[in-house]
Amino acid sequence: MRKEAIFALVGFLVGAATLAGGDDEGDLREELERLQREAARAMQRNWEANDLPPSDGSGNQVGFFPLEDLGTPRYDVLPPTHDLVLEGSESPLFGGYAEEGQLPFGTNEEVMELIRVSVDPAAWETGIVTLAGDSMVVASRPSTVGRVRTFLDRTLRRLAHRGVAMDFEAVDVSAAMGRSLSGADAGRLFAEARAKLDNAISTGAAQRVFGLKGIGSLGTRFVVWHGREVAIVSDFDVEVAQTASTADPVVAIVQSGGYIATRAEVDDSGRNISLDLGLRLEELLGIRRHETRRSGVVDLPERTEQANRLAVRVPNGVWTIASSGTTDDGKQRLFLVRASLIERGGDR
Amino acid sequence: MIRSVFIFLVAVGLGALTVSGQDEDAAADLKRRIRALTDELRQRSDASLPKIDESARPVMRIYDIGDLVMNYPNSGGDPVDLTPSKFQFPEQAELEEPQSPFEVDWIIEMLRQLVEPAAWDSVEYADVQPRLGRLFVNNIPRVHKKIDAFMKTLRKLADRQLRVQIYAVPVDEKDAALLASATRTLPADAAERLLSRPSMGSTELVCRSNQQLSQRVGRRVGYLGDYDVEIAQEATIGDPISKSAFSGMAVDVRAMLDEGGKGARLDIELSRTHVSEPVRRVDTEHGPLELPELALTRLRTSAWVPLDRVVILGGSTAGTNPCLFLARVTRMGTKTKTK
Repeated sequence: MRKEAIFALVGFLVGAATLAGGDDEGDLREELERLQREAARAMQRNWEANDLPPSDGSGNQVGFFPLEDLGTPRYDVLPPTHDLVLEGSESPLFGGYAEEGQLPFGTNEEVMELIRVSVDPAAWETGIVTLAGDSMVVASRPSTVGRVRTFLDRTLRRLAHRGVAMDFEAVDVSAAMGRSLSGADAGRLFAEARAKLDNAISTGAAQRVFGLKGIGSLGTRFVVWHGREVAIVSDFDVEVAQTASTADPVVAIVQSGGYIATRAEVDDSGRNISLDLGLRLEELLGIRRHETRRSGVVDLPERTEQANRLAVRVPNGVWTIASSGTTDDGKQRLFLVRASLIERGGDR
Repeated sequence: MIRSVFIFLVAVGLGALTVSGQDEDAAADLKRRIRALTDELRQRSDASLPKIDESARPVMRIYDIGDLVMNYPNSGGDPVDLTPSKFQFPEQAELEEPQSPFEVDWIIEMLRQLVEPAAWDSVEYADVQPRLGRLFVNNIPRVHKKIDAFMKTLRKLADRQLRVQIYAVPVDEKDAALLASATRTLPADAAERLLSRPSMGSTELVCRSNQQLSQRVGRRVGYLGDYDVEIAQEATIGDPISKSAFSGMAVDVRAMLDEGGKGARLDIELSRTHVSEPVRRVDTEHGPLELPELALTRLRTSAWVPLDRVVILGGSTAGTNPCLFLARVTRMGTKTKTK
C-alpha cells in the first residue's frame, strides 16, 4: 500500500505540474523534471530491494548485442590471404602465421557466461541469453538488459579496444650527445631532452635516418616494415661439358630498410607499457660490381645492420632509447621508441 | 503492480483536473506545495524502503594484469620473416567459407521464444514452417505485427556495412612535428593536407561487419628475370625466363563494427610496392638480364579506429621515400534512395 501511495502522490504531482502554467514556467518544468527523476529513482530502489517486476509493467525486454568485434579471434594479427608464399616454401613473405588466435574474453559462449555471473546473476533464472550468429540476444527485465548493454559497451569493449601507438626512430647523434641523452633519466627522453634532440636534428647536428609509426591493439603483435628490395647477380653457376662451358647467372634479392614488430601490455595504472619489441634497420650502402674473367659481372652489396629483440617497460608516451650502437663514422645511432596508450574513444 | 500503474495514471488525471481551473496565484501556490511535497516524498520514499547494506553487496572490479602475464621471448628468431618477395604477384585470396548472419532454425526458435511465447501454444493452429527461403507463419494479427518488428531488428543487424578507405601518402621532414604529436587520429586540417598530396596509392572497399575481404590494385611489370641454361657436349643455350613484378597496393581486411563506441575494430594487412623504372639491365653471355628494384611498405595490425575520422594506421615517417598508410572507416546507411 505504501508503494501505491507513492505512485498516487507522484501521479498527482505530475498531472498538476503539467497543467500549471504561469510566468515561472521554466522553473516549474525544471522542478517537474527533478520530481520525475526522483520518483523514477524511488521506484527503481523499491524494485531492486523487493525484487519486483519492472515498473512499466511491460514484462521482459529483448536486446540484441552484436559481438563480432569481441568474439572474432585476434590473430597475430590477421591470417594472411595474400601470403606471397614462395614457390615450394611454406614460409609467408611478411610475418608468420605465428600465435593462436586470441579472444579477449573467450568465445561468445564464454562472454555469455561472464555476463551471467557479472550482471544481475539472479535475473538469469527466468531471463534468456542466447547467441544468434555473431550477436547475443538477451530477454530479461529492462534494467538487466540495460546493464548488459552497459557492461558490454563500457567495460568489456573499453578493455578489448584499448590500443597503443608506436613510434620508432633511428637517429644518428654525436658520441657526446649520445652519452648525454643515455645518461640522463636512464635513456628516457622527457620533454626537455626530446626538445634538445629535435633542435639538434633541425640544425643538422643530428640526423633522423629512419622512422616508423603504427597503431595496434594491446596484446596483439603488429608489424610495420618499410624498405626496398634490389635484384642482383650474386653468383654464376658454372657448367662445363667436353668442348663447351657456360655460366648460369644466379639472381638474388638484397633487402634494406627496417621494421618494428611489437606487442604491448599496460600495467594497472596505465602509466607504464611493457613491450615485446623487435627492431631492425638495414641500409644498403652500395653495390660494387666485380667483372669476372669469363662469366660476366657479379654484384657485391654492402649493407649496415642493427637489430634488436627486446623486452622493455617504458613510460606511457615518453620517447625512450631502446638501444644504440656506434656507426662506422664514429657516431652513435640511437633506436628510439615511444609507446602511447590510446583508449577506445580517446579521439574525441 | 498493474494496480499501482492504474493508480498512478488516475492520479495524473486528477492532478490535471485540479489545476486546470486555477488562476496564476493558485499556480504559484501550487508550485510551493509541489516543492514541499517533493521534499516530503523524498523523505518518505527513502524511509519506506529497506536499507541495503552496501558493504555486503558483491562489487565487481577489474584488475589489469596483461603486463604481468605476457611472455617475454628474449631469445628465438625474429618476429618478422622477411623472406624476399622475388617480386611475385600476390597469391589469390583464400577467404573463409561463406556464412549467413542467422540460421533458419535459430530464427524460428527465437520467434517462438521471444515473440509472444504464449501465443504459439494458446492460438489454435499457430505454426511456423520454413520453405524456399521463406517462413510460412500462422498466427493472430497481433503476433504478426510483432514478428514484423522482430524481422526488422534482425535486418538491422545483418545489414551493417562499412566502407574502408586506405590511402598511401608521402610524408617528409616538415611533417615530423605533426606525426610526433598525433597518435591515432589526425586533425581534420592535417588530414586534408596529407590527402591532397600526390597519392602513392589508394584502395577502397565495402564490407559487411565482420566480413573479410581482399583487394589488389596495381600493375604488373614484366621483365627478363633469368635464363634456364642448358649445356650439351659442344653447345650451350640460355632459355630466357620472363617474370613480372607487382607495383601497387594489396589490402586484406576485416572490419568489425563497435556501435556503442562509434568505431570499428580493423584487422588489416597492407602492402604497397613500387617498381623503380627503368629496370636495371646487365649483359650476360646468354643475353640481357633485368634486375628490378622494388620499394615496399608493409603493415599488419589489429586496431580499433573511430568512424568517419582519418587515422594513421602506420608506415614510415623518415628515411627513403617515406610512405604513411591512412584509413577512414565509414558506416554505410541502410536507407535506399529512390526517385
